[in-house]
Amino acid sequence: MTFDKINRRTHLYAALFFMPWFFVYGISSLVFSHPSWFSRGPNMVPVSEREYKLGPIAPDAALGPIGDQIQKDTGLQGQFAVFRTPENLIRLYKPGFITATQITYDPSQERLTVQKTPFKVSGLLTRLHARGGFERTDVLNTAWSVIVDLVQIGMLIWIASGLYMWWHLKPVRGWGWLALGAGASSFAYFITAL
Amino acid sequence: MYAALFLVPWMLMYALSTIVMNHRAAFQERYGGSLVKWATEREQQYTTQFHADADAHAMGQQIMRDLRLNGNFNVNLSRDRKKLTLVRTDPVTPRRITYTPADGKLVVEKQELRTQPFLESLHRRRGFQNSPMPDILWATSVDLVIVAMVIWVLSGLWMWWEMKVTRGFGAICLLTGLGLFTLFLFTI
Repeated sequence: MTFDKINRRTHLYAALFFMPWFFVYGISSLVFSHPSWFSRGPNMVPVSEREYKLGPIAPDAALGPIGDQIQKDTGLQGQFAVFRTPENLIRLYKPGFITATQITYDPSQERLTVQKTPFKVSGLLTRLHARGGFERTDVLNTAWSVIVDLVQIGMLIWIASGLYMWWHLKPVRGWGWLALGAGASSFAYFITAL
Repeated sequence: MYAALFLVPWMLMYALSTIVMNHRAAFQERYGGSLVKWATEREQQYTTQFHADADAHAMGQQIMRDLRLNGNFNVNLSRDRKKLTLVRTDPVTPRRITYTPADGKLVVEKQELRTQPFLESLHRRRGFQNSPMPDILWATSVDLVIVAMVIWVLSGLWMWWEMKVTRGFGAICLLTGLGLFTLFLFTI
């Protein structure tokens, strides 16, 4: 098998395998680029709200154990991120793809609220797009982040193999140079002008 | 093909920036905690009279004009209205301007050029709202990338289907990818 053929096959099969990710990254970018087109409806809907006492929480208290306790008391499964809001609320957030869950504890009111995102295609797309990083330690999230890296490596391979294929199509070299040059100079313009 | 050649820099940037965003924690560790580092460029007295009904953005515009810093910026007025922070979102050298009206002090800080924040800021840059012309053109180019990505998927599928010799293994790749994606979709 020649290098030319290996190059073509790698380009094709990698593209077919990673097609769902590539398509989602493309189409979901529209939601980020034009948020006003997709802003209808509430972001969160309440699931439950009740009185809840956790005792005083020091301003510098470690949030991990507090989050674990709140999650245990709500009976919700999964890996939640825990943080403190500027309004001094303790918030737990689990961004699943189909739906995201948020638990909010208000120490001043001693109230615990559980909310979920209603199913919206735009929400699903943005969560798929933004998911990544190796901070979450469970197998599924780590595997997803590995795939995210592989998709990007795939993109770099498509660029390199695409350039190689273009270079071997002599009749289109001239116009190709023009397109490549125009793209590179437009990008350089943006870097200096933005 | 020509669209792909034109958009090579964008695709290269999106691929590399996604990798550095996916490994943000590693970069934080490498940079010693914070991804961005600001260094004071200059401090100066700044006395001006804002219009009585000037909002934070109008105040920011006036300051940026006086400092001769052209281009897009973000503005944040502290809740107690004692500190106005502006960030000139230059992709290569972002600058942060902090103005405290009480003592008329203006501090200009320059962000050190680092790979991670440089790529991430380009990746996140978008939008058409109240932006200067280069930003509107950039947002248009981002839309062009979106359209191109969808076209590449559709045209790629069509080209693959036309090549009978690769249909079998191609179908395995496509179905494996779709299966894995669906698994993640319903389990994460």
